[in-house]
Amino acid sequence: MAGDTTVVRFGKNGFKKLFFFAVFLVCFGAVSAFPFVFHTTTMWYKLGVDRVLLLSGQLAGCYAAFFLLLQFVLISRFKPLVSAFGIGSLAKTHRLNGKVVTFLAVAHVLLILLPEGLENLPIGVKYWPEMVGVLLLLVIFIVMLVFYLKKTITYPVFKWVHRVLAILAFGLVLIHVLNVSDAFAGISVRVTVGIYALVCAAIFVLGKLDGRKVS
Amino acid sequence: MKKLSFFIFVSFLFISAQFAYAGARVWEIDKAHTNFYFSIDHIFAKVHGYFGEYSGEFAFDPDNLAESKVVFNIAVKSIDTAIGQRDKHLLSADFFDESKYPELTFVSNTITKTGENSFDVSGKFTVKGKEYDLVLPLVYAGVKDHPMEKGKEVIGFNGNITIDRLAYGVGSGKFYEYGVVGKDVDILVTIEALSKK
Repeated sequence: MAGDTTVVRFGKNGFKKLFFFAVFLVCFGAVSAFPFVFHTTTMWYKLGVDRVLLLSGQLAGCYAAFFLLLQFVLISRFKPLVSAFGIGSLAKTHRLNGKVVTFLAVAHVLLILLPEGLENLPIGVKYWPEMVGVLLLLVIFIVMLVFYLKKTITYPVFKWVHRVLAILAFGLVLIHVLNVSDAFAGISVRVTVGIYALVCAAIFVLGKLDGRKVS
Repeated sequence: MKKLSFFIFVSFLFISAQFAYAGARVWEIDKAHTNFYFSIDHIFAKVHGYFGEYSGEFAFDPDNLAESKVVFNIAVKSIDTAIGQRDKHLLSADFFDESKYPELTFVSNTITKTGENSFDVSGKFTVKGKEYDLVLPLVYAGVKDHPMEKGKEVIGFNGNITIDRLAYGVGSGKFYEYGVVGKDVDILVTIEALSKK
């Protein structure tokens, strides 16, 4: 009927969802803009297709790091998140996001290496931040492998291995990101990355503490 | 008896070979103090670097230049400009294409005295698989008893040369045209070698 208006009613959870989505979108937007705003000096020497590949690789890397840390939020069982989205939905997103992180990490490595040739690998002590990245990729692969082998091992073993590797990945991604590129050399960028990591870690710890109180 | 004759023959060949090479004194390169440094313009600044890994031969006698010889095989991968990502870029096809051409080599043909303490070492310089004629001017720093190694003498040379990297195929020239990376590379070759007295 003409003149009718549709009224969208947000319940308490609706506002919570909207809030979390808004926070996510702001963070996602910032991560998306990062390689375009903070150019690395390596970008100066890349032209044409090489430039597109390198920029795409940097973007994939930024997303991979962002989503990797987000994994801790998704699996935290943090009360406000659980009440907004439900535990099943968060766990499902955590599993999907794990696959996305793996894909992005592989894409990051390939796209970064392609412009200077896959035979010209950064191996050696002077490339230690890149080597940390390789170790991180290995950890991500093992996490995925353990996930797919979940049915063949007991749940406590899976949980223990998954947690240890996840915490290792958390540390490695920070070391890699903060040292691999001059784009992350600025104090404001380092502080921002640090705050994001701290928030993710804090939500994870708070969620786990809440879980313990309930049980 | 046959075996003994064969042994004497082989020994004779071996000893003859030693005498044939004995013309120019053979020096053992002191790898810690023999280096290949370079510097190149970057917009306004100078970027310095060096190649840290190489092998070589050094036979030198100022009285027997005809049999003196300088050979260097430099591992391109050992390039070091203090920034790993820049080194990696220099190893790529944009510059040295190290995966295809892992070595720079210099083999001298003739050594001529050009002054009281200066020598021109003419030879073949191989860069990215292509041979070029190169004259490396070396200044003879002297020879003396090694202060830290008894029974040995040390000889020293220093040489400066400027080469156009584009003439050697190191880079296509695009970064030079943009005014970012220069084409003239200043090279300092500094040599210390030891020999038993």
